[in-house]
Parts: sequence; structure tokens; C-alpha cells
Amino acid sequence: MSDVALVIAAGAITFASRAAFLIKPRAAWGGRVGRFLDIFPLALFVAIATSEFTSAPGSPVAIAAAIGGGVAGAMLFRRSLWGVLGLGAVAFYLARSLV
Amino acid sequence: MNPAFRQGARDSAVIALAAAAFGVAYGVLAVDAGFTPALALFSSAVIVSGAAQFSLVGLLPAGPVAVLVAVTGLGLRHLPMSAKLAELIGPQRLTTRLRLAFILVDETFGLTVRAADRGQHDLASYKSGADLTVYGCWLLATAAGAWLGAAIDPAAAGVGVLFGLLFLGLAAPFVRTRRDLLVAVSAIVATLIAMRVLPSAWQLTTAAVVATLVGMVGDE
Repeated sequence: MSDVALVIAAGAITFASRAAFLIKPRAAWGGRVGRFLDIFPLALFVAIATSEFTSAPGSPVAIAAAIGGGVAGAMLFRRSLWGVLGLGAVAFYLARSLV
Repeated sequence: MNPAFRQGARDSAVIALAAAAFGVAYGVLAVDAGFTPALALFSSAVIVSGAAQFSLVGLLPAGPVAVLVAVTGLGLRHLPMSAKLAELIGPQRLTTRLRLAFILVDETFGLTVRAADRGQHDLASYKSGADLTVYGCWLLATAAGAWLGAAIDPAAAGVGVLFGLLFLGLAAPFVRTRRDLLVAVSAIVATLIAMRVLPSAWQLTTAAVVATLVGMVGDE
């Protein structure tokens, strides 16, 4: 299999998984599926964040500072995305420069 | 220009910057793995998934079967995302739904769910604005990494940590009740366990599904 064919196959698989429930229009999911889909985004975002923090290269102290800064940003700025990113990044780069 | 589209483009600016850093890293890695710069750019245009693309170039030496199994595993998390997005955007033309599906990435999906939570009604336009911004940056950054090469090192700048913060910021508005806290803690624990016992392509989907099921049980 050539590299181009492999890229196209990977693109086709990815698109198929993304389009699976968008082929037909749907107003709302009910019952257990609806509840699952209400909760799933939070679980996914936390899982991604955990994975990124765990696998990021660098000093554990700086990464811990980033997490602390992010949580503090969420609490101080009413869960604003910019607040989490801003305070987390400041804490991370500050700790990295000190450690 | 549609206000929701403009809002989506504006909200995604910070995400696009982070995605651009990953795009540069991908461009560098893909060329190192043997892709031509043009093929690296083509793969970013066609696949539009950082995780799938990094797996693709990382597993090239293991052969096409390993690559496609990994890409399939990574794609599984798109199923619930796709179902949720279908619910959020409501009735739309098929071409609109397929266009939104093409760039159903974690980052703009997160922004869209957050925008819905804040009362944005025209979510199809909102996501289109976010998608276009992130997609454009992803392509430009891949091209920069592929052609400029190892002169750039995004990993050294701490991009992984910024991505972690980004998703922490996307999760924060959804932690409101004890049940939400249970889901968040379960997702952390499940991810840490999955990272030890599962191949990388299956970790996030498994952890997110387990944490969601824990939340559903907690509800009952």
C-alpha cells in the first residue's frame, strides 16, 4: 500500500466515524442515549486534559503549576476559557523558568 | 457575515494557535518519517486529526494494518461526538452536516458544546467559523513544519501543557454538580489506568466512556 493510499484510507475511516450520526438529521436523543451524550463531552475533555498533562515533556513541578494555575483560573474567572489558559500558562512558564 | 460564524471564528483563535503549534510538530515529524512535504500537507488536508496523523506517521514502519487499526481506534470517540453534534445543530442540509462532520475535531466540538451551553442558537454557523479558523491554521502550520523542518520545536515550548489547559478550560463550565465532579474524577482515574494498560489509540475513548457510564450510574 502506498503512502498516498494509506493517507486516503485513514482519511476515509476518520470521516466515516465523524459522519456516522450526521448522515441523517436528528432533533434530540432521548432516554439513556441522551443522558450518555449529555455527560460524554465532560468525560472526554477531562480525559484529553489528563492525557496531555501526563504525557507532556518537561518538569513535573511546572506541569503541576500549570494544572494549579488552570484550576485557580477556572475558579477566579468563573470557568472562563481564557482565565484557565491565562493563569495556567503564566504558572507553567513561571515555574519552568524557576525550576 | 453571520454573527454566529464570526463568534465561532473569534472564539477559536486561541485554539487555532495551539493547533498550529501541533501542526508544525506534525509537519516536522511527517517529513522525518519519510513523507514528502506535499504529502504531509495533503494528509493534514484529508485526515484533519492530529491524533490520527501522529499515529499514522509513528506507525508507518509497522505497516498499513497497524496504522489503520490505530486510526479506527482513535475514530471511535467521534461516534458519540457525531451523535451529540447532530442533536446540537438540529435539522440542516446534508452538505452542511457532512461539512461539519469533516472537521469534527475535539477542539471545535468542545467550543460548540460550550457555546450551546451559553445559549448560542445557530450552532452550525458557529462551528463553521471555528472549523474554518482551526483548519486554516492546521494547514498553514503543517506546511511550515514540513518545509521549514526542524528549525522549529513546538514541544520545547510546552505546547502539550497548553493543550491540557485548553481542555481543562473546555471542561470547567460543565462541572456544576456532584455528579459532574464524579465524572471528572472518574475520567482522570480511568485515563491514568488506560494509559498503563491499553494501546494509545484506545485510551481516550475507553476512559471517556467508562467515566460517562460511572456518571450515569451516579445519576441513578
